[in-house]
Amino acid sequence: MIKASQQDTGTYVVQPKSTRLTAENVGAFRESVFELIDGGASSLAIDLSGVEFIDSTALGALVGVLKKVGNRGEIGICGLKGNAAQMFKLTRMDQVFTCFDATSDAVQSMGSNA
Amino acid sequence: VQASLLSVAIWHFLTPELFAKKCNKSDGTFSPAELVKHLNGQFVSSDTDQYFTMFCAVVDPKNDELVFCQAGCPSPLQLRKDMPPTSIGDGGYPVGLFPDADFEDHKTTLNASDRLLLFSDGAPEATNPQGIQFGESRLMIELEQHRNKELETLPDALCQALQTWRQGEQLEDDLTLIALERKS
Repeated sequence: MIKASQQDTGTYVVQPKSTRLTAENVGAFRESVFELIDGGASSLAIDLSGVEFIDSTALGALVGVLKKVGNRGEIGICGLKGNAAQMFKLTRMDQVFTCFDATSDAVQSMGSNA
Repeated sequence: VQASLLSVAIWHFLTPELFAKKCNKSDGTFSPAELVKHLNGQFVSSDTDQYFTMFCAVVDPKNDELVFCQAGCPSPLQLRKDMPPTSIGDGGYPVGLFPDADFEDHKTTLNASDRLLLFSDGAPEATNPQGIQFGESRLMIELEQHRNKELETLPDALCQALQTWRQGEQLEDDLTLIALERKS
């Protein structure tokens, strides 16, 4: 469900493999990301540049990831566009998550904070 | 199942008495945000990502205003006399996700015969076979076209428009539509 790669800075870049993140598939997404965190990943840049649509359940799952990492690490959201960007703005999640235009920006910024 | 349990819990918790107690301020003004804040405190949990969205509003007939708090739900549409439809509110935190979420009161003019359309995200996000969303703008067109017709028939007309958009396919998400009109 996800493609994850660790960068030199230690941050993991996580990309959902689907263009739609919804109630139908977000359970598998959540499970995969939770496994990464349980395995020790504490800095995650979630790249949503390939995601055309997220629904309310997926939004909840992203908050679940944020809560799971908590104060032990950091979550960045990258490449929000279209419906996903609107959803983040409507629900103020753009103020809750640290959002980046590009994954490279996130890796650089999050790495420098590590 | 969890969503159903949550809706039952809210149904029991949110009584008319609680609504009045939290929304009515001692100086005679209204604060629906106070009620939403209270609900957030009751339903927030550190270890789940379950939440709900709401639009909580009070009509203030003395000042011809609607005082509202938008919590994570799409912005409702308003149809006023001699004016094109507009969307009201610019968003807000959902309820139950963060203990420190700040909820705000906003106001809009609401005169007699003005209409409001509240809808869940299932309406604007309904896609046609080409993957294009119905969107807020088509909801506005429907609201405008329905201006001189009975309010009671608006939800059915919107359902019909969504069905046509879906070309007969079932909606992917659940759907709530509420049409309101201030009578006097």
